[in-house]
Amino acid sequence: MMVEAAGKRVKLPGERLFHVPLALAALLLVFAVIAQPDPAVLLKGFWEIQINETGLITDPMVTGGVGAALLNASVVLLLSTLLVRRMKLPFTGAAMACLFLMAGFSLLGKNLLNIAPIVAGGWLHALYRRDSFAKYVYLTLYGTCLAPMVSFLLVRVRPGFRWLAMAACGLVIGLLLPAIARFTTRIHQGYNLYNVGFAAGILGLGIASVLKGFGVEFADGHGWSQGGHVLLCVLVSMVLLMLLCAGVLSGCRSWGDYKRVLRHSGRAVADFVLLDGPGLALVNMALTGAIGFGYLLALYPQGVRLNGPLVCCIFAMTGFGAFGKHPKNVLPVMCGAVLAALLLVAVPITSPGVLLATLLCTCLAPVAGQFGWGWGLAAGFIHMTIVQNTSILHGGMNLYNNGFAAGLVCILLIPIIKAMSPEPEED
Amino acid sequence: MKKHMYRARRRMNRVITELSHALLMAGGQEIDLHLSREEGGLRLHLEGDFQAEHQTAMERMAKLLQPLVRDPALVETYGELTGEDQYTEQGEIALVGQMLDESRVVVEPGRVKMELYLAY
Repeated sequence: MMVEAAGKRVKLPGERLFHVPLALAALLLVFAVIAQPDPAVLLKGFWEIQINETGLITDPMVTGGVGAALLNASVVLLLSTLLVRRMKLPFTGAAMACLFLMAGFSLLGKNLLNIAPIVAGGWLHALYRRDSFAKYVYLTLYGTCLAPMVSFLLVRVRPGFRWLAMAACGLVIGLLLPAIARFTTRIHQGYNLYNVGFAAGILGLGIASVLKGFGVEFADGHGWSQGGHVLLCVLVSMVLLMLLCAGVLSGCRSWGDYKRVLRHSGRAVADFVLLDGPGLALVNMALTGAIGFGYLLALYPQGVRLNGPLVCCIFAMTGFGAFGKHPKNVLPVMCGAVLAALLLVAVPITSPGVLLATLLCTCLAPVAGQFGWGWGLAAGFIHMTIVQNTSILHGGMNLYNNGFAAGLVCILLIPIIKAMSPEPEED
Repeated sequence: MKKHMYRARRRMNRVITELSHALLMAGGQEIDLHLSREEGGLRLHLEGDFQAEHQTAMERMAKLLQPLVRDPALVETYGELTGEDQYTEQGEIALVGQMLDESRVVVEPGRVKMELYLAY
């Protein structure tokens, strides 16, 4: 779309970014077919993913196979992209972060069936506030992180009531979460990039507590595949390379162009598409994602293989490369998390929970960006210890458990940092 | 669609907080504000001075306040962040730019004039 600005015809920033999630959805579909060429098996696996229980940490590649999990991610991403497009929202950094997170977490628990009632609940929220649903699209899509709760009721409630229970639960989540998420931004003041994860953790804690009161027991689901490593490596490499090339072609051609992004603290709202243009944002997405990918490849000798949840983490880092994360602010936080894992946490650095926390603790990148390396290191360190104890609070039903833990880290750390930092000098 | 006067009023308070903060940070000595309630929204006329070394920052601010695209979902998701923490630079100004429905900002050497409109 072209608009008139200062007498000149200019292309809207981010207009072409619409093609990025579409290309990713197409790529995921192609790799799904490569992983499982038999359509009958592919669709059977896809259905298995829809009707089975999910949660922290369940890998849909165990439930339905590598191909079916990629198909699920492709379909969820495509529909989410079309929803954003249908709502006539611009494809800015916020949209990129949201859509990459949708694709990623479809490899760690989200599926068509368990997100649908939550999206409907978000629409009801807009209806109740007599507002356009377009305003609540990001909040609603992020809110699907509580989708495991919907799946849990679908599987565990007795036949006859299960569809009603899952629909009601999803609607309640979608209806309530936007209000909580708006409020929680004020608590962490934008230093936690996974704000809805924090809000969902609080809502999940409430719902899980009520269900526990009725005698419901949340079992620890666990699935961790190792089978699709090479294919997933090729997929991730292609995604990152395509983003890099698209960024270079969109105008980010030198270090001088790129380094402008590094001056941002990353604190919300650091929408790199709006602040610095799509070219720079795309290159930053590729580089930020490459840090997560490189870290996992470095652990290959220790037996770490790419799977659904780990690709999810890489996609989360990549997406937020357009909305707050960059190499300079993610590395200190990751270093702090690794240090804590080595020194304190009584589980190996290659265990699923620790791997996820090391990559997803980067939602605290703005702490490093705003207050420096030292505090970033401290944030990552504390995050790694806190996140070990948070999933029990919501019964493992919040897929953005790291966002929940990061919110708690902010409550603990931000007031201390501000109390200890000198006030900015002004003339 | 319902008129959201309450929300517009809260948002305008946040816009004023952010902009007056930005101008004071840029060494402004005087800021003139004129806020009027109109049929369809709130209109703010803001004029102020700043120190010469902040010229580039003010031009950057003008750009952020007059974005080519406005994302209502971004405002609904992160709007509460404005007017809160006042340590940081461009994030909140960009968000203020997203909040507004119309904006016209003129930056002259050492002086800035803004005409901002927020619909109900």
